[in-house]
Amino acid sequence: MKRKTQHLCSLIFMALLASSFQVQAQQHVIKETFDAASEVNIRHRRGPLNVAPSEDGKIHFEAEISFDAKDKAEAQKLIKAFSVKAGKVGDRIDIDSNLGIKNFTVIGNRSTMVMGDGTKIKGIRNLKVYLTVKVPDVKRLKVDNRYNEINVFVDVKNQLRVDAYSAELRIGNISGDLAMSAKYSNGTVRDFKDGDIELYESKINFGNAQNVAMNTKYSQIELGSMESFKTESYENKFKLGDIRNSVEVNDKYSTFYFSNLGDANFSLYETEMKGGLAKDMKISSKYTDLEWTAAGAISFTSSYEDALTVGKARSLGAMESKYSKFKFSTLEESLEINSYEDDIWISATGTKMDLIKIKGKYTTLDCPLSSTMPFKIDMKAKYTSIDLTAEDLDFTKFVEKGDNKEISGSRNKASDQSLKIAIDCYDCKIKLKG
Amino acid sequence: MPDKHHDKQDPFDLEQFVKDQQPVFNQVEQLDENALWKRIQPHTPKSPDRGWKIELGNYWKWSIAASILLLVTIGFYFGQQIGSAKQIALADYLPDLQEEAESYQQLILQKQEDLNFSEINPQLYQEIFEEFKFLEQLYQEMMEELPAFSDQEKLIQSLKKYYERKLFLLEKLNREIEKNKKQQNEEENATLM
Repeated sequence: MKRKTQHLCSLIFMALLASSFQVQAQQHVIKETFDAASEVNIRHRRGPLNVAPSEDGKIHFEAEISFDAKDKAEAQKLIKAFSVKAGKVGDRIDIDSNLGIKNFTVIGNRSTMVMGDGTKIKGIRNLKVYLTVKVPDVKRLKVDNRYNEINVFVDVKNQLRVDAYSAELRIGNISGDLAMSAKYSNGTVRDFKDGDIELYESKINFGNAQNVAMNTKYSQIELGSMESFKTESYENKFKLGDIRNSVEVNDKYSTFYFSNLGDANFSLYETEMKGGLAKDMKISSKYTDLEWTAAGAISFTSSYEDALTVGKARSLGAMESKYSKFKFSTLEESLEINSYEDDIWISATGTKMDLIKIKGKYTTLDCPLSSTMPFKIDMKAKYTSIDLTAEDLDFTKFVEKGDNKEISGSRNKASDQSLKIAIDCYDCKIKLKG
Repeated sequence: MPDKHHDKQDPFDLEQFVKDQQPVFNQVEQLDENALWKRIQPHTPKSPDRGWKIELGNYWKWSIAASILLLVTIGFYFGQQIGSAKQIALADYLPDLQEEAESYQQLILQKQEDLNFSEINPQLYQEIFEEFKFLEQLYQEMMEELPAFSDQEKLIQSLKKYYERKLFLLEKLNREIEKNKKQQNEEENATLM
């Protein structure tokens, strides 16, 4: 008897348990159609937002709510609360699918939802709202979603505005401009015209564009080729295609991989930068590593503890440099530097080399000149070593008084067009012989 | 049924005693207050000649208006403080994340302690302190969204990123402090040379 009662109790318990887990999948769809408009604004929450081309020139939306519910009455409450605010204001369609949930707690197997009007709905799980909007080519489109997908595969003639927060992005080619603000988001954006982009802790691959302005933090960015590029950057990783015209970078703690670029203006702090060919570069930097295959004129307004390595460059100028290292395989035309404890290595100089001017303290210059190269030299230095002797020069003033050195002279019948070397140094090491 | 306790013979009937003595209890001795005060007064400290005086003068209406304004302002301020203090608790919505958040908090506190965080001059590292501020704004924003979106996995990921970023930022601050020290030393050495 006792055993039978136990058996019965456990059966009732199992049945109760099973009933408590019993769920019913629910769906409900809202659809609406509008006449064409030149502007569409879409705000969506709790599911993927898809924007696709419309085939009939009209604007359609379809919002589907999908969830699991323990109780039919509770499910009905949610379906009743589900609505999409949509309307036409002038030539603009606004679509807002926000459910207006005020509070949603899901702990263990229980869930309680409180709607904006105070209605309580219990036992709802796996809630999702899918919104698909079909639009013909529009002039302006605005999409806004959080914690979910934004998929846009429709052309936008003037401007696409994307507001993404913790979102997955998939955006196709657009012929207009892109204005984007993304935080904690990932994804791809294909080609666009001009871009005004703000990223925070995001990872996005962009296609090609014309002029791009970016404000980014803690992000990973890939961009195709552009006409111009401008960025305020903080701790990012960039991989950029060819930039035909100007580049302006104001950065801290980032890594840049450039292909080829036009004239550049860099303000860098603890930046790592690598690139192919660059035209002229103006740089102000600190604790920065720069590596270029080839460049035009490289001009530092200030350099502090940097390392610059260049295959071939036209010239190097530094108005102020401290504790930096400059390495060139070939320097074509000139070197002019106000230096403090820098190291400069130039493996070879070009035939057009016409100036080496150093005002330095504790600086090392290693620049082997070809033995046939004519030059004129003027040097005033203290505690400085130079590997030239009076015998190396054709016409010379070679004075050594204690630790002071004064050299004036020329070599290989140098003319006014020949290389001029001007050295004003304190405790430097100068090597000009191979 | 007779009450056993009442049947029992009581050697002292308290109830009867109180009844009998009632007139005595009710009698209150009249106190000679003047005589008593005369005895106390010599032992009391002398009252000061000048005390606090509030003189409202001719502007008493303005004084009252200003007081009311002050009270309203203080009330509003504290009202705001209480409002902002009403925090959304992570544990109420994401109990699983709470534990992880606590370990992050521990690490953050430890790092702050190592850096002597409260002693650092924010002016010297303005950018990093602005980052901390911005990060807190983001956190507030996420916490405000939490009640409605606590079921969204992506929000949980973003919250985790907040803690990670705060730790990274503290490490960055540490590096900047070291760099600053190094630069100062270099400059001092350069002036000595």
